[in-house]
Parts: sequence; C-alpha cells; structure tokens
Amino acid sequence: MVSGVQLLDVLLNGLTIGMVYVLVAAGLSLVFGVMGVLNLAHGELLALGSYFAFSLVTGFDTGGFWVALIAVPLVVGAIGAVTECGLVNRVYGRGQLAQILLTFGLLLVIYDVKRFVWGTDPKFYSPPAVVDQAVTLVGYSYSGYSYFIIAAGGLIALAVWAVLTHTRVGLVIRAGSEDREMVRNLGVDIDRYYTLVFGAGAALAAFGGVVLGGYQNVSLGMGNAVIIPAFVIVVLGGLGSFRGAVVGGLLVGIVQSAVSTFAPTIQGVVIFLLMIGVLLLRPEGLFGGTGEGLDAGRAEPSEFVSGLGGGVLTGHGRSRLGLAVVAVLALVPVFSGILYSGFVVSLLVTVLIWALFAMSLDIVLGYTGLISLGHALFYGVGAYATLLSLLYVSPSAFVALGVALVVTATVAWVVGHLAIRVSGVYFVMITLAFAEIVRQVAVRLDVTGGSSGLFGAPEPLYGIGGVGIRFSEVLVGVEPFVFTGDALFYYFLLGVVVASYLGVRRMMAAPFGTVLQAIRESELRARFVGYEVRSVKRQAFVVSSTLAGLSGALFALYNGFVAPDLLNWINSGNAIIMVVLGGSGTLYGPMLGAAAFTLIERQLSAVIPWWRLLLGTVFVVVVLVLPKGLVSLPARVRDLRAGADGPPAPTDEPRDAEVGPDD
Amino acid sequence: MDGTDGTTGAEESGTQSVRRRGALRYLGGGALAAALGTAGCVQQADGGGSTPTDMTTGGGDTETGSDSGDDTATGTGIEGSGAESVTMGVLVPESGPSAPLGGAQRQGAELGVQYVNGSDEFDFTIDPVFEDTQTDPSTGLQRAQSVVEDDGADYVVGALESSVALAVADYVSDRDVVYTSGAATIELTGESCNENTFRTETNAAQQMAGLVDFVASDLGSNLWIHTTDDTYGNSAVAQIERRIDAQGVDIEVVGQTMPDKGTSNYGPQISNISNSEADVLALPDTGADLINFMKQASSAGLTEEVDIIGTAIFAQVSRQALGSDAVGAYSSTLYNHALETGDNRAFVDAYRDEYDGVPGSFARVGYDMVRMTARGIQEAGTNDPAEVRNALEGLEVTTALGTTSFRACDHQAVNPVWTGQVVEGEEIPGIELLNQVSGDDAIRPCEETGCRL
Repeated sequence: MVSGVQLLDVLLNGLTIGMVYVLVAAGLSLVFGVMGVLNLAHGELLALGSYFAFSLVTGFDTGGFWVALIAVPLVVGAIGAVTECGLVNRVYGRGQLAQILLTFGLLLVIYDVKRFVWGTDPKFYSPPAVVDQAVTLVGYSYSGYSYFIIAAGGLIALAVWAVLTHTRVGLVIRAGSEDREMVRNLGVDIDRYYTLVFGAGAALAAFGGVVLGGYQNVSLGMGNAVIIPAFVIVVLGGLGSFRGAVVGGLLVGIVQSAVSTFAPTIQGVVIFLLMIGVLLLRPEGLFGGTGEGLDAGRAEPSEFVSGLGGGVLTGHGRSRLGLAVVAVLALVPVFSGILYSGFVVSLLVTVLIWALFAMSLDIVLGYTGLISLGHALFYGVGAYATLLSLLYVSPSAFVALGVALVVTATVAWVVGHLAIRVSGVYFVMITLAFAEIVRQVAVRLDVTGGSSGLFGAPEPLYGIGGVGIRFSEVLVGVEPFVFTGDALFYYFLLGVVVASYLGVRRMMAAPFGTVLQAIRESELRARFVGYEVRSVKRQAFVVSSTLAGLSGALFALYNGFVAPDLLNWINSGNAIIMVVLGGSGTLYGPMLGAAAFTLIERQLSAVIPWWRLLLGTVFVVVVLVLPKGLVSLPARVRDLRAGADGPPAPTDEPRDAEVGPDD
Repeated sequence: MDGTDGTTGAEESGTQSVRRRGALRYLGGGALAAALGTAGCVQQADGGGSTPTDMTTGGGDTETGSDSGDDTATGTGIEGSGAESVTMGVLVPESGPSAPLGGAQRQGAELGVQYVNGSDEFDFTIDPVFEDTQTDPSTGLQRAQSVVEDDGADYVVGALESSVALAVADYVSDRDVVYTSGAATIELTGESCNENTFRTETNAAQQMAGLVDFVASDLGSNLWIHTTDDTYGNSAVAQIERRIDAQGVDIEVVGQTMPDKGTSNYGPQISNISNSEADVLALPDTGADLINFMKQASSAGLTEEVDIIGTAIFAQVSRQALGSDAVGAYSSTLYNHALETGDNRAFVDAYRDEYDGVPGSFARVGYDMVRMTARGIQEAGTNDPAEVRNALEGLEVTTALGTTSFRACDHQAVNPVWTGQVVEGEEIPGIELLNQVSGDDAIRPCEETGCRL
C-alpha cells in the first residue's frame, strides 16, 4: 500500500538529487551544444567546488557557507574560463577523441591537485543550522536542507533560463548550439562567447558542488560519481538543450528515488535502461529536436586517425621493427631471474593483455570511427565466461577460450544490433549503458560471485578431454632455456597476441577493412556507393568485441579470478586513452599506447605519488603536440628538425587546429 | 623446530645460477641438474626421479632456498647470526576511496615493524616493502606479485577491500607464501579459506554476533537492517540472520534496505525505515556510505525515531565526521584506544609518540598483523613459510586485544567484540564501552564456516 506521504517522500527525495544533476548537466550540455566539446573534467569542477566550500566553511564557520555559495562558483568559473582560453580552445573542431584525451588529462590533473591540497581523507562540512534541520509542514516532516537544495537549485536554473531566453548573449548561445556556422556567417563572433559559456558551465557545476558537499561528504571520488549520471542526463535530454538538461535531471532524480523505494533490485541500472529506451525510440534525445546542425550524431575521429600509414615508417621498416620487438619480447623470460626478477614477466603479461584489448578497440575506433565506451563489457564477459567454464564445464583452457569467444561474439551481436542504430556521442553513451547494466547484473547474481567476484579456478589444462599440459607442471626446452609456469603462459600469450595482430592487419588490408575506412571518412558516401553501412559496422563491432573478449579470457586464464571491476567503465575509458595515446587506426599504435599507459599506471604509481598529474600532463601534451599519438613522434621530430634547418614542412602539421571549429 | 645452521641454503642457491621459479618449486635443488639433463622437450616435472624426499626440508635442515629462486635479500635460517632480515610485503590501499583506512593500517604496520625490530624477543628483523593496492583486485594482485616475485617477500600482510584480499589469498594459495590479512570479508576464512591465509582482523560474523546479542538484550525486537549492497553488506545481513537463528533470540527483521555503493541520496531508504514499525536500526555499513547515511538520517529526524546500532560508528573517522550527529548511536566495537587488554597501553603510547592522536581499529589491525606473523616466524625458528604456517595455527599470542590465536580450522583470529555508545566528547564524540562478548562466544563454530582446513 503506497501512502500519500510516501509518494511525497519519493518526489522530494528525487527533486533534491535531481536539482544537483540539473546544475551539473546544464553546464555540460551547454558546453557541448555551443562548442561541441565533451568535457570529461566537468565532474572534477563540481568536486573542486565542494573542496573550496569545505575550506571556507571550516575557515569562517557557518557564515562561510553563505560566502561559498557566491564566491566558489565565481572562482571555479574563472578557473574554467582560464582553462578554456589556455587549453580547451586548442581542440575545437578536432573531433571527440582529441577532446576526450585532453579533458581526461585535465581530470587527472585536477584530481591530483585536490589530493595534494586537501589529502585523501573525505571531508565533511555541515550547512548552517538554519537550513539543516527537519522541517515540519502541516504535520509532514522533511529535511530542511533538501528544501534548501531544491529552492536554491530551482532559482539558479530559472536565472539561467532567463538569461538564455531574454538577453542577447542568451540568444547567441542558443543560436550557437543550433548551428555554429550559421551564427558565424551572420557576422557574430561566436568564438568570443566560448570562454563565457565554459566559465558559466564550470560555475554551475561548482554551485552544485557546494550544496552537494553539505548533503554528503567531500571526497576525491565525488566528481567521478556524478559525471556518468550527468552524461546520461545530457544525452537523455538532448545534447545542447538546456530544457533537456533540466527535465532530464529532475526526471532521473525522481525515477532513481522511486525505483530505490519500490524496486531496489534494479536501482543501479534504471537510468541506463531509461537512456537506452529513449535513444532507441528517439535517437536525438527528448529535447534535441533540431539536431541536424549538431555534430553530435557524427563520429568525428578527426586527424587523430587520418593520413597515417606511410607517414610514420615505411612498410618495410615497420615490419622489421615489429619483428625486432617480438624477438626482444620473446627473449624476456630467458633472462628472467638473472638480469631482472620474474616480476618482469608478470608485468609484461599484463601489458600484452591490455595491448590486445586496445588493439581490438582500434578496429571500431580507429578504422570505423565508432567510439565505444563499453568495451570493458566484452573484456569482462570474456573473463567471466572463461572462469565459469573452468569452474563448471571443463578445466581445459581451450574449451574455456572457445566458450568465451562464442559468448562474447553473441553478446556483441546483440549489443551491436541495438547500439549501431545510433552514432556519435549517442553511440558512446549507449555502449556505456550496456556495459553498466551487465556490470550491475554481475554484481547481483550469485553465479558470478556478486560484488567480490569469482576466485579459486582450477589451474587450466592446455589440452582437450583430459589430455594436455598444465604450465606449472611441465618443463619445456633444453638447458639453459627451460621454461615453466608463467614463462610458458607468457609465450602462449605472446603467440596469441601476435597472431591476432597479423589476422586483424590482414583483415584491415582486405576489402572489408577498406569499406570500414570508407565509412569512417564518409558514412553517407559509403551508403551511396551501395554498402550496407549498418551491417558492415555491426560486423566490425562483433570482430572487435570478440577480440576484447579474448583479452579478458586471457586475463582470467592467467590470474584465475574475475571481479566486477573488470566491467568498470574506467577500463573502457583507459582503452580509449591507450588507443588515442598510441595513435589510432594503426593497430600497433594502440599496443604501444597500452604499454606506455600500463607501465606508467602500474609501475610509476608505486614510485611517484603524483603519477596522475604526470599522466594527465602527458595526455595534454600529446593532444597539443602529437595529434596523431605516440607513433607520430618520429615523424614529428623529423618535421621539427627540418623546420629548424630550413623552411617549415608544410604537410602533416597540426596547424589546422588553430582554425577554429568547423561544423 | 631445531634449526642447526643457515649455510646449506646459501650454498645451494649459489649453484643455481639459472633460477627458474616454477621449476624449483617441484624439483629439489639436488635433483635439478639430473632432471634438466634428461629433459626432452616436454616433461612431467614431478616424474623423473624427483621425489619429495629429495627436497631438503627434513632433518633439522632449515634451508628454504628451493621454494623460490627470487629471495635475494633473505638468508635462510634465522638462528645463529641474530641479524637476519625477513622481507615482508605490506599491501594497503593508499589511493581510492579506502585510502584513509589504508593509511591508518599502514601506520599500524609501520609501528608493528618497529616493535619487532626494536625488541630482543625476536631473532630477526623485518624488512618491509610497502605497496599501494589501490581499489581493484587486478592492481592488488599485481602488487602482491611484485613484492613476492620482485622483492622476494615470503610474507605478505594487509589488504583491506574484500576483492583485493580474496585475490591476494588466491595468489598465495599455491605458493609458499604466508598471507596475514587485514580485510573483514567473511569468505576469507570461510569458503575461500586456504592454508596459507590468516586473518588478524575481526570478521563480519564475529562482529554481527556482538551486535545481535546487544540488540536482543538492550534495544528491542523489531529490527531494520540498512547496509550497502556489496560483499560486506551482504555477508553482514546473512550473519545477523544466522546469529538470530543460532541464539534463538526474540528479534524480527521487519525490513532491509541495501542501496548501491556510492549512493548520494538516502532519502528513499530513510523514508522507508521511518514509515515502518522498526524500533531498532542495524547499520552494518562503513566509510563514506555510512557517513552520508547518518548525516541525512539525522537531518531527516530518523535518529530520534529509532535506536541505531552500527558496526563502524565507533571508528574515529566516523565520529569525527559525524560529530554530534553520531551521539547516542550504539556501535558494535572492534577496538578502542582506552582498552586495557593485552599490550594495548604500550601500543597507544607508541602510536602517540609517532603520529599524535590515538590509534583506531585499522591501525590496531596493521600493528597486530605484522606482530602476529612475526610471532609465528619466531615460534617456528625459521623463516620457511611452510614451517611458519604450521607454527601459526593455534599459537597463543599477546595482541592489543589481549591473548588471542589463529584458530586452526579456519585461521581466523579469535578476537573479542564490544558494544559501545557514542557520547559527547571534548573535540570529537567519545565511545563508552557497555559490554563485551568473548572471542570464543563471538566466533562461528568451525563446522559452520564452510572452510575445510
């Protein structure tokens, strides 16, 4: 029996958190609408707001809270504006990948700066007692601070709406989010407004941070916790639509509240189900009606992927270099325990698994132009399928790998069937949604071991039907080259990775790969030429996902455990970063990126406490200086040297970056 | 174990210039050359004339070189020289959501190392290697591999998060490495137990036993359980229900709410509890989730309506964060700096000298996990992990919680649990201890653990 009081509770609870979502999503949506920038660091700006508020409240007691409400948005807004002037304006029109890498780099930098200044302990501050007590109205008691959040957030949203609809600045911004090029053609210098919009977005997020910090704790992870719902809301409401952000934010807040009251088992997945439903029925979002002018629907892999190939190394030199790398890798276990400890082999196993994962993503990202933020889904599914097969079907590693490949290919076909219908940012979000749903299911089910995962798989048998070998029980080779255990697995893995690379390279050189690249360059033309674009994309998606599943399966074979963390979207994000860092559309670039990323994350983090700052700075520098990723480093150095000796090299220079946004 | 000399192992490892980690695990040093000589391309390692008797562990010989080719820092026997050092990997989360707790555990572990190295009760010193597990099991596992394979540690202590601890336990299960855990997840000494894994931390079952007994005797009979939907939360609910059944007490669980980890708005759950007939709220929750819930519950007036008994409200970080919002709440309590048990007084003094302030439960666990492992090494008279493992089972040791031991059937430390109430304090609210449940009463019977050791 649902009472009226309960419904009122649900509504108010939903509005409270919904209002915070509105504040975050509004800025995110405007920034995307006007500048076409996906700002991953937006959540960190909110967290920054909370931390500033914490300092003010502890410094000036309750009066500090009121000061913080005004001052913190101004300060964070100014920080946002400066960031836009100095960094973000360098990536306009350079496609989503450049933006993702840059803003992710900023995210890491801001995160580490917060850690330096405020430490890792969560901080707490209470809002002034005036608003922080239960309020009883007509016999109904409810938290006064929630009323305050709803009222304050509502006022701010109203003010933003008024500015957008009743001022000239608002007019230009709205026009800009409809069609930037047209606004520019009309003689309005829209670029001037970018700094303003970015700063205002940051200020809104910071205001959200100040009120949210009084409601919960202030921690390093709070930006991360809010960014995913915010993206969902932006997509749900329609990119670039302020109305969409408001309605979407409140809707998501209320739906979350209702579901956690009446159907708590699906509370984690409901917003993703909602988003998938909306996107499949109305691919431009609830209020994104005039989306034609937006580049949201278009994947823009940008110069990050185009024109590589011959630019880096000649084909001959490249295969020789590749052979040399494989040869060096093959020698690593030989000197293990002599020149260095056995840990090097374990570390390289991790690197190779990530390299395979990153390469698999490159098929859809670099060759087809589809940015999947759900690739961890297949990595995780492959790992879970492998472990379940080892536990319940057969101890054979080959059977487990077969099961994993079949299961991931099937899941990929289903997900691909639904996800390929949308493109651009919507594809990014829908793949993320599927991955999150599967992660939630894995956490809920007993057969997948719940939130701690599955442990204690038997040691895999490399063979079939009871005939085969276990790596830890055999010695292979002749003295002094005798290998067992990890070293044998290492060779097995190296073989699989090299074979996968060669297979995919062959596939990309075949007509199939050429069609994929044609789709990446112009989907419309590919369709006019007569290709079934969706079907080709889906095939690429399935191939890519199956390889991702293979890398997950190898993880499970080696480590003997799986945990829901494997399905975490952070892994998908890391894979994108690796691909872009290394150089997408090259297959070996992503592998290089994976190696660099893993070594920094795993090894440097043990030595350097501020590794995030370092990694973030590397990303920012790569975006600004090496727009084609690490693989373009030799060419870039050559260009620079040529530039110093003689006239600057006219080709391949990222000068077009400064031209400003195109459509 | 009467170790005689420490030279054999050193001599042996000298002959093994080519060291193969996995191979040596199956082949005694003496048999190695013969086995390799006859090795074809593929050969079963446990055939070929290598029998267990070739392994040189019997007869008072304390050689340990054959378990792993990587220990570079450690010698072998610890008798005689008096200055042997034992490498110990200390794995705690120092980044991610658990970083503050991990930091406390590390502080405790550092004091534990100081204690061992400064005391003449031990014939060896500990050479600690600290690593950050972050939050995810893959990183945790990588760190465990690093300390064992790279630094040559035969002893690993720590880990806080359930999945990290389970991954580390899984890793040591088929190696000659002893792992003393600082995590609370029940499986570690339940279904996922193994002979190399011990746990200093009090587990969820012990703690819930204390909580249920107190609710039954002092608080009420209509119980609502609110926790986070994660491993700890789920096992807490299961253990509360188990204890209610086992003791046959008059408590009815009238409802439960288990939102996801990291929920920022607890309004719906607070409304549900408030609209129910519950008079007691059990809150087996930790970290930021606990703080956020308590803050919002207090703001909504729920703390006036029901008695709240938590499992981590006693923790210093919780009391500090909650301030007056925590006053009046009860908490099942694992440790308090004011306890007069064991050598707690000395621990608190040492902690004060080093870090200012008083230690919390995580620091206590860090301190004792190092010391309990060290007691085992001392008792075994060797740093051979296989011997130490046997010595640790059932060994009575003095800890900050009093005399306790790792139970042989599941390797769980038999710690007592207390119940306390949060009272007004000077800077932050304090804890007033109300009752104690002894270690033997709180722990599950061996046959119910699901552990087969």
